[in-house]
Amino acid sequence: MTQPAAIRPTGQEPPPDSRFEVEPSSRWVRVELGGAIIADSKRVLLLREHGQLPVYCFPMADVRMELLTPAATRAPALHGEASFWSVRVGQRVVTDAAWAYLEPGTALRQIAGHVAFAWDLMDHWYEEAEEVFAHPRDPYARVDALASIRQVRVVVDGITVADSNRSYLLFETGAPTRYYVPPADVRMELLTPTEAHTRCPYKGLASYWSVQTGERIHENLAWSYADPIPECPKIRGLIAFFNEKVDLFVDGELQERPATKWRTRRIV
Amino acid sequence: MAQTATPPVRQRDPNHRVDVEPSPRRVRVEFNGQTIADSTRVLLLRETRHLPVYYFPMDDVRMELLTPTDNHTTCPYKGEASYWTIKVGDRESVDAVWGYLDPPPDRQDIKGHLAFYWDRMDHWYEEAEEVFKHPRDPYHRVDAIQSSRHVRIVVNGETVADTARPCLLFETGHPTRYYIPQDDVRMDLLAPTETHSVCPYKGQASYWSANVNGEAARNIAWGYLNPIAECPKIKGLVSFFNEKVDVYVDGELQERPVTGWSNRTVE
Repeated sequence: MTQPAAIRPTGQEPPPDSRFEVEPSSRWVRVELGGAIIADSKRVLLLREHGQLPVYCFPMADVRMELLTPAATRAPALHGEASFWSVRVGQRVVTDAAWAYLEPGTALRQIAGHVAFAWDLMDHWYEEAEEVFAHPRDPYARVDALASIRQVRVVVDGITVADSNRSYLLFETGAPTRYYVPPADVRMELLTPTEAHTRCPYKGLASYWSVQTGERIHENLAWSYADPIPECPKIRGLIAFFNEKVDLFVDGELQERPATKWRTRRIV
Repeated sequence: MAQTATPPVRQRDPNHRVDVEPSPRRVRVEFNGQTIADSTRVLLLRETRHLPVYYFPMDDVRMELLTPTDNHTTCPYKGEASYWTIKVGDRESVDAVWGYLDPPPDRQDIKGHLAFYWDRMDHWYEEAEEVFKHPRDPYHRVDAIQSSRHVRIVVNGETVADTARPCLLFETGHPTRYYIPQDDVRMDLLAPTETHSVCPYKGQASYWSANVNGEAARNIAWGYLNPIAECPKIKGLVSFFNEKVDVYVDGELQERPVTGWSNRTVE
């Protein structure tokens, strides 16, 4: 479960205490649009800004700059003003798809002359020979799924919809613990699959369920990875609920609802 | 980790970091058949140049099995460490447990917490799974990615591996490791050794020595014949210490990384 990757400067003034780091990545990264590789580099920089998804920045020499047209769009950002380009491949034009900090502040002088692309406006991204989805993997983020014998009970509108002592706990850096429960321990008759899907580069493609309790329907309250990536095998087919929106009891103790953006936002 | 000798009080290095955070994992420690610590509110201490360490609230430790010793060490960041000997049945481990009873004002979070030397304990568990070697660092990542780069390994002037289908392993803080299918390695130049090592992110490694043009290079290559479930792609592949061999990637000789292995051999 991951948020959509609108990884572009938003035009909002970043908080003055924003933290960021830039480091060279040793991965070979390629970006594909309209059947063409428009960026191809073995010397990308990875920009990690606190609270944001990481962004690959390509040296201009490794970008098909002849396909880029400067746009009028400007956005203030931590790193100075971001300038945008549109990308044209054949008949396909993607507006404001690329950006750069032409005159970055001294702290970020490294990324001068580097171009970044809006992940979700591109067709495909590759690290080495593998396609990568949603956003670059952060070298400082980890996902560990561990078998647990804690008693996990999920209650929605007073109704127990899941009760298990053989769940998997998923610990993801910076995210609340997620409790993945085998379907045999979930009242599946209360769940209805929806059309919603999200992508996470650490876990794979997630599917969603709505939960019905009496008259109320909680849309996309639960999710699952039916076919997770090979590196995350243990949660295959298990079901997790937004702890933000359900009553979660662990060993009988009601857990505090984590304060994430999912408390108020819904998957659509 | 605690020091083994008592050095004079050192000055703080501004680049040295000590970060402490609560871990949501239930952690258990077993010694001589007994669970001696069991907590759902451990702290994870991460310190520059050290492996992460779990600290347990004393309330979650079987204190009646611990005896304080006279040993004390001093750390400029955490204060004076006190030590305990643990005894369970007929087995004891001297000074196996340490803690900071009176840490400095900026490190009060670890006060009243105890840590255990990982390798002196018999088993460690996170939730219901055994964990080996050290806690997994939540800010440490291992990505094994299939590559089409051309990788050639040269030992003592002889090409011992040549592949266009390596798996590149990117591990936070480590040089890129090139894992190569055995079919693309001159396995006739390698001989397996008895050496093994364990990594909580990859599993148990086996080693090979190379014998090339009359010169032996002990434990110069390793592989994970049966990696942990989360690291499936390197299964059975062979990697060489880039510190000690010539690695050509797409024809270009790579600089040898400088690490703890540059002048050391796995034993």
